[in-house]
Amino acid sequence: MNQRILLATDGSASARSAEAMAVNLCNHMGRCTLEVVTVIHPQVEKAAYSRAHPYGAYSSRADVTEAERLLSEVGDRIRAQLTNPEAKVYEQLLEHDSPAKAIVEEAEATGECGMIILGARGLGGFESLALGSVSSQVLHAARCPVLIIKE
Amino acid sequence: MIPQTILVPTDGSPGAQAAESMAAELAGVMGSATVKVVHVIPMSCLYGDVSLENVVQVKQVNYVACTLDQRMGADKLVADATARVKAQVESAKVNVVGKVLESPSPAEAIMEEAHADGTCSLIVMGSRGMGGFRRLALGSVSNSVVHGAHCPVMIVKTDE
Repeated sequence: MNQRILLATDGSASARSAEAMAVNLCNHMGRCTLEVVTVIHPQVEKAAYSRAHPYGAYSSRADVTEAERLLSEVGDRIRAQLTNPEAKVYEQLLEHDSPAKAIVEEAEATGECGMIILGARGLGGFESLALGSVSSQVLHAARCPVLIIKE
Repeated sequence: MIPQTILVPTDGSPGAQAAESMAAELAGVMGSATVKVVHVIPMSCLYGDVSLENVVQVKQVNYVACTLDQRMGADKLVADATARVKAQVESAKVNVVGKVLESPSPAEAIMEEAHADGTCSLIVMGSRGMGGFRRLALGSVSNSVVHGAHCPVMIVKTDE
């Protein structure tokens, strides 16, 4: 198992459970990296292509601020609970029109993904669904192991 | 928070073997866990004549009990898988056990075993077993377990 863990979060209850599991795993491992990601969907249309916004759309300032706040909140909470000095945590804000694609691409970009950890169901969608659309898509698309955590 | 038992459903397929390796590795990381290797013998529904001797009733439905051959095959499969996991576990504190289950629904049997005695195991399983279509990213058993289980589920894929 590669020592790089990607934790996808959106601040939902099941993401919180996934976060706890990620912290616990990291505390038991030796040297490891925990990458915390959240994805925002660019909403505002933009005319010209730019490197920073390859999908031709801007995310609104409010969305970016909200996502950054969530990431730093989650990152701080994780750092407070980490007892393993060899564990490194960093946060990454992703912009993509498909959250699942963004998560899988990010995890597999470096070719050394140990696992993806995510909650079974995020903020969107129906409460009765056992598995949300993002989790389901990640599960199908990812080549690395995917750990699904329920609330 | 980290489940003390890792449950690995296996049918001997490449995907299941990848899951076995992952479970062995996770158990090593977690220290003092138990790895429980299980295989489910699927029972088929029995229609018509129930005067046969080998009938098992589950929830008021009759099923054909497994044959001695099936049972022995399953025992061997679990013994082999248990030996594979034992060989891969580095920590001496990890306990590896095997178990054969019999059920009309492999997914339900796996979930019942994972939730047994009020505990919650971590289920580590392959994305696709022996049955089904190769092009499916997720087989029917893995799919049912991932949807239905209350405990954490890890799906491991193989490159083939």
